[in-house]
Amino acid sequence: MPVSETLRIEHAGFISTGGVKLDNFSMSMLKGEIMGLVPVDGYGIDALFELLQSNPPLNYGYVYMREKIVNSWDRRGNKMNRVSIIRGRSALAGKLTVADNVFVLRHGFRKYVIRPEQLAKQLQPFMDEAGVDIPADKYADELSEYERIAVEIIKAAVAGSWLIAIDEPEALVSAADLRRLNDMLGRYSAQGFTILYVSSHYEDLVSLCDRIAIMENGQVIKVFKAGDRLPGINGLITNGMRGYGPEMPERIRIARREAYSVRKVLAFENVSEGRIYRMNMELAAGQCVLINNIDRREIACLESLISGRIIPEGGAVSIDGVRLEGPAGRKIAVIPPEPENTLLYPDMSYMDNLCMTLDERIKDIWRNRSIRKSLRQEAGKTAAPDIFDVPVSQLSAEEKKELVYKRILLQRPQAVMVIQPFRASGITSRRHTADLIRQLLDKGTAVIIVSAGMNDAIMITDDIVQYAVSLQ
Amino acid sequence: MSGKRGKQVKNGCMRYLSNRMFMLLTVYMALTGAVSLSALVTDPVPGWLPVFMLTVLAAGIFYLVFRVIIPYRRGENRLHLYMEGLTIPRADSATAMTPETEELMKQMREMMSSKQVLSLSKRQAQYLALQNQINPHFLYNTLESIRSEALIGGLSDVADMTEALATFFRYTISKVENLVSVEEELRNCQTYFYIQKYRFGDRLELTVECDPVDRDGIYACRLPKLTMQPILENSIIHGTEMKLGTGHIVISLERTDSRINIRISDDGTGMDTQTLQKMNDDLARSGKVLLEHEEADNKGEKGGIALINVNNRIRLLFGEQYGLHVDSVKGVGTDVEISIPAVTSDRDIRNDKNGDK
Repeated sequence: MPVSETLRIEHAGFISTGGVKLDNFSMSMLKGEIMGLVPVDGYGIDALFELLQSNPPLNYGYVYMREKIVNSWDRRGNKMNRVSIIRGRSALAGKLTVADNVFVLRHGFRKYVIRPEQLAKQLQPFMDEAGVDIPADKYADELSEYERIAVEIIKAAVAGSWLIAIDEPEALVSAADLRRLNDMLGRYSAQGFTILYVSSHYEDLVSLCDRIAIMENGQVIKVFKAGDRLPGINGLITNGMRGYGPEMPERIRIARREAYSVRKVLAFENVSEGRIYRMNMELAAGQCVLINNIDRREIACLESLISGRIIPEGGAVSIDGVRLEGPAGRKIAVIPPEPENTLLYPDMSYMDNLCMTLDERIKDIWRNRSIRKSLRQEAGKTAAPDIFDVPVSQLSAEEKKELVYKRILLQRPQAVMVIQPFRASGITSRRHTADLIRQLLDKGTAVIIVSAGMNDAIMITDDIVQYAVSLQ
Repeated sequence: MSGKRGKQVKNGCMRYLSNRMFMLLTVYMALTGAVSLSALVTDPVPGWLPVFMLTVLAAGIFYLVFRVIIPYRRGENRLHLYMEGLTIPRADSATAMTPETEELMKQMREMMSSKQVLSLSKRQAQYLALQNQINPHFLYNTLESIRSEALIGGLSDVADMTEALATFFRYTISKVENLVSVEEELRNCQTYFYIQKYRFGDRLELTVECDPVDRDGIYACRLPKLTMQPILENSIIHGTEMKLGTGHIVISLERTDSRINIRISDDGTGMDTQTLQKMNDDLARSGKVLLEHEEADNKGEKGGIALINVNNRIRLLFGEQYGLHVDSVKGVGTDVEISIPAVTSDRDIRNDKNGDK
C-alpha cells in the first residue's frame, strides 16, 4: 500500500523581517515518520515553524499537507494548518487544569456545561496510551517541564494534529525524562502521527528517527536514513562546532582555577526555599558550575534567591562573604534563555544598550560624554566601529547575543546565572554562546549555568551539580 | 457550448483589469455627479446623503482592493517569477490587463509550448544518432557482428559488453516515445551501470531499494524517457569517479498516494554549499537556464546541463510542482530526488500542467 505523505515543501522561498529566511527549502515527511532535523546554524528554524503552522505568503514554492496543496507562491493558504509546535514556551493555559487544556481549549469543543470528572475519565485512556500519569485536575502552571511537554503532545494527539513538531526537548528536560519523552513519541509515531524532531545532537536522533535532515543557511542540505553509515557524517556535524567540540585544555582550566580559587564569590549555605531544600554550593571567581536536571519552577526560585529578590526561609546566600539581605543589584547578573529577545531595548542604539547596566560602576555614565567616548573606543577593539549607533532591532541574532554578554562583561558582576544558554540555537550559535561564557570566566566572573540537559554545557563547566528535588 | 467558452461568457468583460478600473471610475464619477447635482437642487442636504456617500466609498474601496489591486499584484508577481525563470506565463484573469495582453500571454506560452521545448530537451537528451544522421540499424548490425566475432574468439566479456551497449543504444535511440515505464527506465539504468562496471570493476556498487509490496505499482508508473540514466551517469562521473575506494550508489523508489519519489544517492565527493545552492536555484528556474545554456552552446561554451534538462522535461510534462531537488554535502555524498505524479497511463497526463492544480 502506498504510504501517505503528511508534508511536502517544494522549493519554498520565504522572506520575512530581516531578509530571506528559507531559500529553496525542500522537505517531505511520510505519515507515521519521525523526522529529525539538525539545524547547523539555527537559521530559518522559526520561519520553518511559521511556514508549517500559519501559511505565510511565499516568495516561491509549494507546501502540501496530506498531499493537498495548502500554500504556494501563487495562492496563499488562508487557513491554519493542523500542526502542533512544542517549544520552550508553554502553549498551555496556566490557570486551567490538564483536562481543560486538552479538551476544553480544543477546536470544536461545543459543550456548555463542563464536568471535570467526565473530562478526567476521558483523559485517562490518552494518558495510558502515552504512558504518563499526570493528574487531570493539576493546573498547567504546576506541571514540570516534562509533564508540560507530555500534555502538549497529548493535546496535539487529541486534536488530531497532522504533524507534531518538537523543538530541542533535550534543552528542557533531564536525560531520564528525555528518554521517557522519546518513548512516548515512538508510540505516537507507531499510531500514525508524524513527528518533526528538531535537535542539535545528531547522535541522539539516530536511535529515534527514521530519517534525519541537516539544515544550514535556511535550506536542507542532506537527508540521511537512520541506517546510513556514511563516512564524513561526523565531520559534517562537528564542523560547525570546531573550536567548541574539543574540551577546554586541562592546563588552562587548572590555571584559571588556581588564579581565582582563593576568593569565594557566591555561597549557598543550607538554603531552603520553596522546592529548594538545603542547598549547598560555593563558587570561586572564574569558576563555572552547571546545575543540571533542574526544572523551570526551581529555576525561577533559584533566580529569585540569587538576585536577592527573596530571602530564603532557611540558610543564607552570600556574595563575596556578605550575607544577602536584599536585592543584589549589579553584583549579580541573570541571563535568561534567548536573551537577545528579552534583555535588550530594540529601539535604542547598540551603545545605549551597552551602557545600560553601568550605572553602579560608573556613576556619570549618562552625563559624561567623554566616558562614553572612551568606552566606545575600548569596545571598538572587538566590534565593528559603525555598529554603535545602529538600533538594536537592526542587528542580527548573533550580534544581539554578543551585545548582551559584552554589557555584562562591562558590568563586572561577581556571578552570572545563565539560564539554558544553549536552548533553541544551531550548532554554530552554541559554539558562539560557549565562547561568550568563556570570556566571562576569563574575566574572573563566576558562572552558574542552569540547564536541564548537560550535552553542551559540559564542554565549559568545571563542576556539575546534579539537582534533585527532595521531599521535605 | 464548451466549458471554456461557457466560463468566458460567465466572466464577461469584467475579467480584464482595464475594464474593471474603467467600470469603477465610471460608476464613481456618475454617482459623484448625481449626488452633487442632488445636493445643489435640494436644500437642506438630506440626512441619508452622507451615509449613502460613505457606503459608496466603502464599496468602491472594497472593489478596488479585491478586484483590481490584489489581482494586479498577483499578476505582477507572476510576471516577476517568469522573468526570473521560475515559472511559465499563464493567461488568466490575474494577469490579463486587456484582451491584447491576454493574447500576448497566450502567444508567449505557445512559444514556450511543451512541444518546442521538449524537442529542444530531447536533442540535448542525447538523441545523438538522429542528429548525427547515424543509421541505428547499421549501428546495431555492427555491434551484433562484433559480438559474434567475440563469441567465436572466446571473448565472452567483450560479447556481453557489446550486447549491453546494443541494448542501451536501442533504448536510447530507437524508442521514440516520450514516456516510458519506471521499470523500463530502471532496466536501462542497470544496463548503463553494467557497461560502467567494466570500467570501474569493484569500485562501483549499485543497489535498488523498493518496497516489494509497492513494486508493481511503482514499476508501472510513467515518466519521461531518460530521466534516471543521466542522473545515474552524473553520480558515477561527478560523484564516485573522483572518490578513493568503493562508491555506493543507491536508487530508492517510493510511492505515496499521489507521487513517485525516486532518490539516486551516492557517497561520493559531494559539493559545497555554494555549488549546491546554485544547482538548486538553476533547477528552480530551469527553463531560463536551459535557454541561457543554448546561447552559451551556440557561442561554443560547453557545460553540464543534464539535471536541468531532466527537470525541465518533468516540469513541462507534469507541472511545476514536480521535478528534481538536490541535497549534498562535501565529502559525504549527493542525493538527487525526482518527484513525479503517480500515473500509469499516458492519457492521465494533462497537457496544461502549469501549476493550476
